[in-house]
Amino acid sequence: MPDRIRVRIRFSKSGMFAYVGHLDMMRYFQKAVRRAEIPIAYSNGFHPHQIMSFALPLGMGITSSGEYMDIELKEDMEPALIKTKLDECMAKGVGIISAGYVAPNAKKSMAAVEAASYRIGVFTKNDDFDISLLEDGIRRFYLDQNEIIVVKKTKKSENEIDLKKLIYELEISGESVEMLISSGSQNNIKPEFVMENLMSFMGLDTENFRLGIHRNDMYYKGEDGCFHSMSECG
Amino acid sequence: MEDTIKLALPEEILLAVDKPARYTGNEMGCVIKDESGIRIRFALCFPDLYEIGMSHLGIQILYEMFNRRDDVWAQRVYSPWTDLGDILKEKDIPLFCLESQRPVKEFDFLGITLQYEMCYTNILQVLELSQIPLLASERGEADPIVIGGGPCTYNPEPLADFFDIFYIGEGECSYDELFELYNSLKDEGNYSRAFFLHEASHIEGIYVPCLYEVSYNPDGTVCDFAPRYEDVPGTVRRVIVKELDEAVYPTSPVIPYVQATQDRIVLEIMRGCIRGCRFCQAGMVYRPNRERSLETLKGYAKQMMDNTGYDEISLSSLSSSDYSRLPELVNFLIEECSARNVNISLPSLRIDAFSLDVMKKVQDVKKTSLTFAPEAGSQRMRDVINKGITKEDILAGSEMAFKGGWSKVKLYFMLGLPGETDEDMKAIPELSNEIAALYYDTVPKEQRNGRCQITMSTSFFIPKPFTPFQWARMYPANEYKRRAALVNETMKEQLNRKSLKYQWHQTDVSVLEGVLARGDRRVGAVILKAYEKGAIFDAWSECFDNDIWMAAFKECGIDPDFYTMRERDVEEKLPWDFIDVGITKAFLVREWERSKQGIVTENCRAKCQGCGCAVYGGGVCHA
Repeated sequence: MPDRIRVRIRFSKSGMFAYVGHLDMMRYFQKAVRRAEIPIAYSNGFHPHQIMSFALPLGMGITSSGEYMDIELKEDMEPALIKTKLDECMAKGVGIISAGYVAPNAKKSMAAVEAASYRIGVFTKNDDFDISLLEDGIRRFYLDQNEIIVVKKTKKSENEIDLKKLIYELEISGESVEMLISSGSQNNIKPEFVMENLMSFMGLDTENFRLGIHRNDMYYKGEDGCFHSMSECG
Repeated sequence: MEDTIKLALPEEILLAVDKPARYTGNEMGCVIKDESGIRIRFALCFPDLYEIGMSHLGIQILYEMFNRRDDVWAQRVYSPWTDLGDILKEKDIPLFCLESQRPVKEFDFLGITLQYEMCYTNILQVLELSQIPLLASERGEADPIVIGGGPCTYNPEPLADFFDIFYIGEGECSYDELFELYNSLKDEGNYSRAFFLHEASHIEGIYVPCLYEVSYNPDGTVCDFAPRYEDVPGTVRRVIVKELDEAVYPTSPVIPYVQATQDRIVLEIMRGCIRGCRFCQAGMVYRPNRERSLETLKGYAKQMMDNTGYDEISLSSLSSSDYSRLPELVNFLIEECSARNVNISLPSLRIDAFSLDVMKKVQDVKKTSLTFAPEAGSQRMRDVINKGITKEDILAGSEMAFKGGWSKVKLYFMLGLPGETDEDMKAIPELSNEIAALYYDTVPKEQRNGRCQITMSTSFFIPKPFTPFQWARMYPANEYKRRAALVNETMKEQLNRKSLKYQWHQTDVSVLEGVLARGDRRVGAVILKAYEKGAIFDAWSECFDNDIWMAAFKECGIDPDFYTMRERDVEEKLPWDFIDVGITKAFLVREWERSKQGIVTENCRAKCQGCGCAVYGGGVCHA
């Protein structure tokens, strides 16, 4: 057994939890871990805090089935038992999907994430939008172009970036747009940013549309160069 | 039961406002019921921001108590912040309760807690956004019965026009009777709003303002206050819980996602206070002092830690040091909490060897400051207000604290107390200077970590109903400014001035609070006018606009000085005299006279002073 036992927990957010912000989610889980009596490790110091970290914050209004939290244990507990105990303490709208040990030398989930996949519904006020109209747009915007130079604004600056390199997959699937995009501490792009650029490329006014965004999962890049679900735990 | 509750607000609004989870409910511990068995839907409102309201124990108690009844569904509603308030108004969306997300106007009752005077305009906002007529006289059969409770009901008169009922006293006592009345009138088929209110006035603690008439003397004082009907009681008696151990306690409280101001477990150890400080309304109107038993509190603490997962627990009372089993309770908590990595917060402790020892165990002395509330700078003034703490106590406590490693001290004072002289004001920085000097005398140079930091904070004294100072006068805002400036100037003359810091409160808002605290029914028109002119969130300094209020007074032809700037005669009929809080007027008059002579009155445990609360038959009076 390694000195530090780390467990990665995958959870979902739905319903009104789309409006619970990142810091509030952290506080929510701090309380839930206590209620579930998970033997979490604490930091030293006068007011010890739980050793817990979260991958990539989720934007306001977005639901997810691929959120991750890493916790360190002070004594071993089977991940399957952690999943069960924690799931019993959840409010409606948060579900524990899985839990597994994190490999001893794996990066923290925050540092490991390199991509995220999303499912996006596109709605108009009258709900009369035909998603297949985007099919042609995606072909011309994404598949046909060798580079997609767009302006990305941050708080400090405006940069031109090549979106083509940061979008790994973009397609229509059923009634939604599905995408796999670069995410994490480097080259992070947001799904709504991709949609805005796609739609304005097509000449659509984004003001007239509402997006229903759902994060499917987050991924790290394995030694094989492929993306693996964070739930594989490195 | 619906599986998922449909949110009252659409996504585009939720994404447009700050902290949307204030409005989406579904918190851990919130109660969802099957509508079919519900006869009484009760909206519990704290008329301020969600984060403030969710920190309030009283609402959690009523929520627990009401929801234990199968026929009642109690839900919560708070003031929307101005961003959402504007949207609701513009889009004509009615204000809703968090649990069912249904409009407040569909409820049978809307109960609003009145915790401080500066939330009065927020009450009107809640009513308006709920699409309920602001004036009780304009409400119809379909509108909820609007009830006010909490400390400000000890003078409800400025709000009389806006409420159907005021509940005077502790919430645990008379609601069941009120609900039984409501149900039985509905069963018999002879329910009407007017009949229900009339019948409700017979229940102890229930005051129905529309059933009383007030007349005024030519000088503006109250001439007569009398019921309009023979069967309506002339006085309304405060109701209290005799045995706290038997009262409901919310051991599985609602836990917010948005961080509340008090983001911790609250353990209410007792009610009332034995001290009898003459300025303190809570110390008077919550008598007699009643304790929860040690065993009960231990049980609650454990259950709440299990149920909530909070990482901090705080004791709640007016003066925790006076809890008779405090050492046992604190030692239990230290043991229980260290095993669970839960922090302990111990407010309102008197500084002595015991409390310093305890605080050293539960907090980091380097980072925290020690708090004293001498309330007045000079011993003369402390005797006037009956604050049973001497300069020797303060210095001895400080010395122990400095030896224990603390170097930061916070001191709370009031300015504008009755009979305050310039000498009394100057005594505030002088006392602080002595404490600083004591630090340098006590702690050798090599053990110091820079200077000590003595922070003085002053608020302006506001006379409150049912205190010995209820007859006292206040001063104009510029006089308060002069007094604060005098403290500030005197501080700069002190030898240890570099170790001293001074903070003082806004002056305008204190004068207005004074009007609302001791106003009569005529002040209601001013509140309405100020609200119409845009006053809202007056307790928030970034929102408060004194000019609006002054214009409102002018337009209503009401002189605010009438309520604040004159010392009232003890013979004058006061707007709140019809309430019987237990304490007799004779006791208050006696205390007012003794304060003028600077005579200290002993605490309830040392010797009963015959205040009148012994008639309740519980607590310290019968220990």
